[in-house]
Amino acid sequence: MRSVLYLVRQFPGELANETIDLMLVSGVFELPTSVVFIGNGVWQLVGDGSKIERKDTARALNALPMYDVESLYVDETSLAVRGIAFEDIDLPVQAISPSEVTQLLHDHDVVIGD
Amino acid sequence: MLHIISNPNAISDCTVHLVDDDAVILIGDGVYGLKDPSLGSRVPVFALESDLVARGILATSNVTPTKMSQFVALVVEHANSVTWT
Repeated sequence: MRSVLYLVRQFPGELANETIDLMLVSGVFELPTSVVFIGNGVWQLVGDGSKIERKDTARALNALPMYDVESLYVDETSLAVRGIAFEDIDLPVQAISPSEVTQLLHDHDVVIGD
Repeated sequence: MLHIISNPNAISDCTVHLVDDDAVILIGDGVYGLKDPSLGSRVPVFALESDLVARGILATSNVTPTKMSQFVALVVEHANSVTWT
């Protein structure tokens, strides 16, 4: 089975939520699926979009482990430059270095950007 | 791995992750970034010729103008690819 990596770089919002739907489909079909949040994508892991009357991205992400998408990573440098503390993230993500992100890109058969 | 860049604002996100034997191709509005210094000379950089022409951009010496058929060949040559939008 081909492994899939989702490379998440977009701010939270409607487009981000559509990519999450795609991740859930990967999980349902039992594809080996990983997700990595880099750049502005790390903003998806914090905050509460429902406060501005929109479907909350962080809450939608919470569905991933229930769909067997459990390999979740975040780029620690992207968090640091945005002043986001790893402790403030509720999702069970693993903090990794930029070089480990590079390794993920090479280790997967298919990489899907957003 | 082949890095396909379709947005010039994504170049710096991409170049952090370039390693030997990778290649970069600029397509669509990505060709506006062909002079971005972060592209460097570590890996070959291609740019889709039709997208350069459409935008009136002259290729600089650091990039190789590429036809659609060569783009397809690049995709096939590399084990996987990622699109930076």
